[in-house]
Amino acid sequence: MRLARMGAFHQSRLSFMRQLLRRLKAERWRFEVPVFEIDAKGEGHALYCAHGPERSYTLVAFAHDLPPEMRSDRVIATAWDATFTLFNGVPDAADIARLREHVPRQEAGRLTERELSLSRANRSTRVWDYVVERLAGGRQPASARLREVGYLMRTTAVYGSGKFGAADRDTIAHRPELASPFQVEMLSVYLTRAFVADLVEHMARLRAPDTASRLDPVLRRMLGIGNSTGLGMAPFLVNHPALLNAWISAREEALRRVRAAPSATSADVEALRTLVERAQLLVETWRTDHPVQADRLRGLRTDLEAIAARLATEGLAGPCPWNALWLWAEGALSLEGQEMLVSLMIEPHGALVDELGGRMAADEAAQGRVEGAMRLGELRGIVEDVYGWALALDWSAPERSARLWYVSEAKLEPRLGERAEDGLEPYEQPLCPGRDAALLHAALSEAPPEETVAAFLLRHPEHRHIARRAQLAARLPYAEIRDNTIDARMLPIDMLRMKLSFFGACHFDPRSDRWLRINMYQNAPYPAELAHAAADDWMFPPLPETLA
Amino acid sequence: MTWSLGELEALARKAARGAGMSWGMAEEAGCAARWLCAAGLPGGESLADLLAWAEGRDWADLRPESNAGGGRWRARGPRLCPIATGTALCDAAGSIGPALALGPVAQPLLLAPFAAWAAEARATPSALSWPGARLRFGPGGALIEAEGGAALRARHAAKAALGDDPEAASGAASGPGSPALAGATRAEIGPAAARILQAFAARTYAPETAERRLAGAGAGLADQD
Repeated sequence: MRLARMGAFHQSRLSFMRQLLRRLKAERWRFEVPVFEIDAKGEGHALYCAHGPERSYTLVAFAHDLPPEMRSDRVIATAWDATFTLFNGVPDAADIARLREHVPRQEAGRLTERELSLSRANRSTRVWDYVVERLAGGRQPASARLREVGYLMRTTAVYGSGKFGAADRDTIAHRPELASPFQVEMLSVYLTRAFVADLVEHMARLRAPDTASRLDPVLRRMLGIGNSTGLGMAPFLVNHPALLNAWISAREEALRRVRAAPSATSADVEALRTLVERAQLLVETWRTDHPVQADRLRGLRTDLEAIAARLATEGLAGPCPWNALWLWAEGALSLEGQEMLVSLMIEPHGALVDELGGRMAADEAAQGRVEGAMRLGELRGIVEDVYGWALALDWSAPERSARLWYVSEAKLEPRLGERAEDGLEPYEQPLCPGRDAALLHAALSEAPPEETVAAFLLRHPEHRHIARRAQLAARLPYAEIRDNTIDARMLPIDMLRMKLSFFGACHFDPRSDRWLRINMYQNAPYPAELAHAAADDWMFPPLPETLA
Repeated sequence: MTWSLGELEALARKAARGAGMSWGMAEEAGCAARWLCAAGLPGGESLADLLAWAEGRDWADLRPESNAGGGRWRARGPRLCPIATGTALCDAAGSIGPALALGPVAQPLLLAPFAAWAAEARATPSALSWPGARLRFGPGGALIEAEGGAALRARHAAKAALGDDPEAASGAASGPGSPALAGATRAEIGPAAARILQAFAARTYAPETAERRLAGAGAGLADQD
């Protein structure tokens, strides 16, 4: 599992947004908006309730009148156009009064056990005023202009899991609807998208009550909710090895099952052909100015043409045709194309793979203890097996450890710095398992192989964190990224994209090597539409002929 | 104000690192503080006092000189660090035998989580005691009794003992590794202890400079599209 491949992942059936919408649909969740009190200046609050079979959750949304000069999608911003929390249950007036004091301040505020998430969003200045103006005038915004951006508001951080005082994941992970990873965050974002679409119509209505139109439902569907993600997300993958293993294992198992299918029908060929066509539509609307990603997109276009051509000439004939398709792809397509093909191959096989979604959580506490009775000879073997790639690197070369991860005193966000910079190294975070494994290996070479890990770590507590990781990675094959996370050429956006793809994001648009924008829930049915719409066929844009 | 257990654990881990522990040992400190708070015991205070006491000392002088079973574990320095000691006894859980003496030890309450994890690893009920205090653990590691009042918060103990305790087997019904006593879902930390932990944690944060702010996260400051 190398960074370059992780940085080419796409959403799939197993993505967390898709798991959420399948559940909401299957369990017939009900949605309502009991409060929507926002004035002409754009200030006020709204409640979006989601009622499941056992419990209810409410997105509490605060809308603000933000001066343009304060609009920043950096995590270090201090004010936003809208701020949110997902409340456990339905809040009363006292809850709202309390949350009004804290949620708009985000990191500077304080949540309680009743809240599950904290997030914020800013308007897209490219389209927000334009859409309000068009709707107020009784007209629709131009589809091409909306498609260029893809959303009306863009979230930045979406915090969950006990952050800023919110409920710990442990307290809710037993609930079926929240057992899969990031379901709180995905529900919060799903309801946020609905709020944003309602808000733009509301603002148009307040501006011109007599003439205002609502958004055309087709345009409305096309709008997702944006997100801007920085470095903060990258260390998560290193800090949660058991979770990373669960995600990748599920995806690998899904691919394995599809590849093992002995034959395919003409309906399968047609389904895949249609999906390829829809994926081509997705790529056509995928905008980026980033040279690396732009180049990858050109490759992806070529790859999709190649897949379509192969389907047209060979279909899915012969024994194990999916496997044959995959083996061909490994030699014929770029990483972007290969990973898109994984998603496309999995897509028509819901009955075969969807249950794997239930295996993507991890009991991290259960993975935590060091196996002290292990002999050093065995640990050394594990290090050579798991970190062989790292042992082969020349760590004395400056470029191999040119970077370091640190936490800044401002906003306590993870950052990436240059090791050469004066005074930074003492603050280095343990986010370079490859280098640390090489150091452990060198120490093990000096120690007797019959000694126990317990005795060794008593003398060498500095190797404890990496010894624990190595033992864990020996049990969990995908726990460790097999790449150098402090290399001079390392692209943090590869780590960000990998995680975001598991969320279900698309339109990855890197803004630098360490920051990117995405779109979420584009083309998905809104909560109010979910009961009557297909809940799980929105990840690729619909073909024009199906848009009636 | 209460803290989420995740926040408390992260604060404790960073504080321990800021106080000079290795990353792996700091992880243990975070887990231990969280376990205590989840049991309704003052994990934040105990760790804060430990780190303040250890300031200026070398952690290498506070770890057990040996983790062999049978004898009494001591440090080269004045007292054992309970984090290093607990970690060592968990690592050696399979070979420490039915009774272990140790001490002098600082903040003995911080040994409790490790005693619980060792009981779980050995699937054997056990008791941890020091003058005036005793904690008992079921074979799954659940805390089934904590007696001693103020003695639980002793700043140090001349001697502590960990031993098998067949009578504690009744705790078997509790979940593995989870404190069964209070079952708190939030951490309470007194303001003084919180300040100490935050001050140690702050040592892990790099000072901000304008260059670092611009380069570190890689984005510009404006969001005008």
